[in-house]
Amino acid sequence: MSYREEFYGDFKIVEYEPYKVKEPSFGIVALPDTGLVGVIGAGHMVKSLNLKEVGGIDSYSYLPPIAVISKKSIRLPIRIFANENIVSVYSEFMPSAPSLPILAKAILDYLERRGVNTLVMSSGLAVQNRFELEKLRTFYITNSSEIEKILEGVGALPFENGYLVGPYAVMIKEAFRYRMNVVLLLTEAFLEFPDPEASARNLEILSRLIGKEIDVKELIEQAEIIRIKARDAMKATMPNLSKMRKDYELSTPLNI
Amino acid sequence: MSEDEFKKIIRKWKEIRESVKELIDEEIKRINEEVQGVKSLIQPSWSSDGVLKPLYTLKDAGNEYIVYIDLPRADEGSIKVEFVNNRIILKASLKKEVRFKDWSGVGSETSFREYQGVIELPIKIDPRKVKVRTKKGIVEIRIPKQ
Repeated sequence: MSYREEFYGDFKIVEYEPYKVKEPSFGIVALPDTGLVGVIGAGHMVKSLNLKEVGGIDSYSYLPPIAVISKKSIRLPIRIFANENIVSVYSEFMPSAPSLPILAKAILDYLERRGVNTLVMSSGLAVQNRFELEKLRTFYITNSSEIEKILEGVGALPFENGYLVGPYAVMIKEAFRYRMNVVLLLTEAFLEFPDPEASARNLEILSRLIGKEIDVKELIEQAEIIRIKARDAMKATMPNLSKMRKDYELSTPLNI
Repeated sequence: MSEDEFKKIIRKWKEIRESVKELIDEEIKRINEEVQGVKSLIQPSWSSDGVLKPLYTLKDAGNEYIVYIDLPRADEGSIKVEFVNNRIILKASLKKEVRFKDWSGVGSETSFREYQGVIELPIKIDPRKVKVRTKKGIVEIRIPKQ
């Protein structure tokens, strides 16, 4: 099954076949977090843009012993999809909290060597009044003024103060250290329920950033079915988020 | 030993006893949470007879508890919520039977037709004071504490 393997501590990155990405290229990382917003969105993007599964990441120390069976093939729990200028790392399984910095470094090293210029991530911002909201606001965190201009143009708001907890907090800190262009989109979402509506909103913005049309009509039409299918992944994600002290996101920085 | 010294030692001993008790309580709570977490994880959220267990969340909002229950594709007219002592008993039919070809754990096609769930609250519920709202397949139940 493997064409090439790399090891990062206890993580193993496997490529199933050779592939190349053209510049400018985008790394899209989707890990379980608030409302599974990033994972649901990335899953839809992979289908819409017809990305090919080119590899995967596994760990016998930090991930449950899982084999993903997809279209009769054996795949690894963290999956890598690609097309000509996108590499997407996608996981429905949450690695243990202490392994996240190692995983982040493994993913970023890999994407950097694959020639990825910009890291795009999408998640949910857990808001207590989500039940009442009809129009969802999207916030962003980025280190690129170019990306910021695009985001302002689509009505996204800067995330100015507060805390971020979970896998994307680790990813964004490490991406800043790598001096990679990075953007994290955060759309208001349910924390504990799969929220495809928030995923659709993020995808509309993401498609502008990567310059590819992603039709979210089907995602919105299929939202209820996705919510049914994503229930177990959501249920498995919550204890991990709780252990990571996701509740810090609801506290306010005291001084600055 | 003077009386003051004796009282000081007793006070110190009581402080130590309290902090040990707190540590033990915390540890018991942590173990209980872990056991509950594992128990809920190994219980599937669906059964092969077509029943889905809904996801729910319980929030303590000061003078009331708020429960949100996620019921995608439920027929809102069929949602039945009953309150028995400290329990919420929920049943709802799906708008239409939903079939999945790629459902893990069944090896083939499976289908679902309804939701069933029981949610336990830390207080006895007075059904007359409860407010229930439904929106986009999510049920909100507000339960006053008094």
